[in-house]
Amino acid sequence: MGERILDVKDLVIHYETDEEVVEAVNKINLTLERGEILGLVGETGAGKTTTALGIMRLLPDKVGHVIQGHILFEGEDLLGKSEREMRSIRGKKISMIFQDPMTALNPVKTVGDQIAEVVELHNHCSKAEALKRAQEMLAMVGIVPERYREYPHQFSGGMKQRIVIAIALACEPDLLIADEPTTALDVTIQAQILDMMRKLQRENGTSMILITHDLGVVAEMCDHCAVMYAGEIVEFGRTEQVFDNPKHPYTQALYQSIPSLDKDVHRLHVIPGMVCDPSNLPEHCSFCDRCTKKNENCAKHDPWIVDVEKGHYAKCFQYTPEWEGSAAAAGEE
Amino acid sequence: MLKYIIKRILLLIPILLGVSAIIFALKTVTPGDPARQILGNDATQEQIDAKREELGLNDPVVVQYVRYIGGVVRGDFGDSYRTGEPVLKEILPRLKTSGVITLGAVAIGAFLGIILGILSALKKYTWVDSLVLVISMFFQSVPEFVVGLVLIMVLAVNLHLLPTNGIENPLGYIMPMLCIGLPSIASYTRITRSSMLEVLGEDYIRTARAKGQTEHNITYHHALRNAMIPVAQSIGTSLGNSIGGGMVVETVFGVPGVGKYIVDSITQRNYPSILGGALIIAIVLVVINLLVDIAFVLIDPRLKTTIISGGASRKKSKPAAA
Repeated sequence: MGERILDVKDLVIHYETDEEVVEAVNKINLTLERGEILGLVGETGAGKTTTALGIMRLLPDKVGHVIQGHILFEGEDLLGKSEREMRSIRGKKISMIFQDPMTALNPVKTVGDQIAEVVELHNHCSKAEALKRAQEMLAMVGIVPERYREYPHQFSGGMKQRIVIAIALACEPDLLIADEPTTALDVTIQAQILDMMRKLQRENGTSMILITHDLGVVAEMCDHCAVMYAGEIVEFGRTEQVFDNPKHPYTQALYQSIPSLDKDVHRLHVIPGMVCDPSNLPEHCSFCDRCTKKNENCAKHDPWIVDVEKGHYAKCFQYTPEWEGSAAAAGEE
Repeated sequence: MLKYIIKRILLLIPILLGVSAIIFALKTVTPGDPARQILGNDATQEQIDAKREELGLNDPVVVQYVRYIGGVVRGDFGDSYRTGEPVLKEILPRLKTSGVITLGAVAIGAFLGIILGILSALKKYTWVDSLVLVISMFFQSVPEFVVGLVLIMVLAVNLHLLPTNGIENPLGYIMPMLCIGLPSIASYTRITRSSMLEVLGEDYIRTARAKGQTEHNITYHHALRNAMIPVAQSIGTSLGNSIGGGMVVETVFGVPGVGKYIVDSITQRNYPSILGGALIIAIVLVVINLLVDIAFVLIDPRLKTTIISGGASRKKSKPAAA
């Protein structure tokens, strides 16, 4: 195992408004080795983006708060950094690619200027050098460098996302957080963008957190995979482990709901029920109401995350030795 | 670009025809004989008849209208009934005066309004924000003539800094400008504030933060230009509105402007002046709107492709990859 680049410990993030407190991220733990890709999957509202913004320290002003926890990046706690120190990290050491390329670029600035901006900020070079670097970056993401003088509206969606990626990679960051980089794009473009991201990630040895709700993308791209549900990580492990041998009932249900092309089915499998309201999370297991394997313990207590095999963790009473039924469940496997 | 400008100037034709037709119709249906007005009550019937013949008032209305339009095309807007001078000659210096005052007023209002708007957007929901709201609401709620009278009392009568009346001294322009400009601060403040808040919530602002950009540069380099688009629109509208609409202020400060000229012409039923004034103001408004639209392109590059070239020109071949 290589050097550990990111270590998120017991991170809790709340959104606080006058009316309510939304518990968006609840005590999550994540680790990422240098050069690896970690997939963060989960449905909308599971807290994936909030986790990413928390790492970037870009939570919405006044509303988003990190309540507790540590985010160790290259051994230093980002939560203890001053705003000035964070600015020198953002864009340089940690970059982020946002979900919607249509709105992520400033409409009144040329794309060249927008790429050069980050280079100028962190490499302390002249505007001309930064623009030259911007053109190199455009070429790298497959756009004719001469188009650096054009404005975002003159590019297609897929090309805009390439530009966003060029901005994110311009300073060769150690960690790249990609928040659903392909969600807003159509399927053929998705594949191109993902291929390109993986190629660039390998060439530069960048570590990456890939946020997605597309399990196929995770299987394709990621070394590790974390499944989020209601602000918690319910399963974490190497991608093969999580995919070949899913342990948490939520993960298992997710796989069942992937439509198969081979089988002739009338209705797609869905997970019954709704995600619980994050402003009113239960004391007990948050997946309990939708779970097919629940037990009397599940409606009373909140399970904790335990290792089910080496490097593979799940947050379910099935695998907690204290739970009486665990022996029987293990026997079945 | 040139094609667009020419197209916009050609739009003047139907606008001017419409304006002139309406005022011409008004002139013919309202009672009263212009010839009698010009000559006064002492004139004999023969004199009046001779004047009517001279003015062409005995011809059918359509002939009169066509004759008038023919004159306008050659730059002749008719002669004032009251002074006998060409309307154009009377109105141009007044237009210049009103134009200077309007420009100054809009500059004052927009400058202060934008600054206050940025301030209250950056300090939203704090006491600064509330204070800015109160100040701008105050100036908006007080009528122009009250602002004018207070300005005269303080700046002219008590402090003797500025002349009370007239524009013989260039300092005389300052108070009319303030008087129109100060009440307009409120609307610029509000537009700037709301548009700034909206822009600061945009994704590209988050992108800029993720680059490690400072809040100062984010505000002034990324947000401000985008936030200025609706403000520029509002500036364009008020430039047009206040050129012909400054009669209260022009009266209070004794400024010979277009607004006052037209009001006077209306009370004197001086139709050539009304008609000429209206047409000249319409031309100025169309030109201002054109200039404002061109200014938009400088602020927002998206318009260059959508408006100016009609969105149709695609000369650059785009690479196939996307």
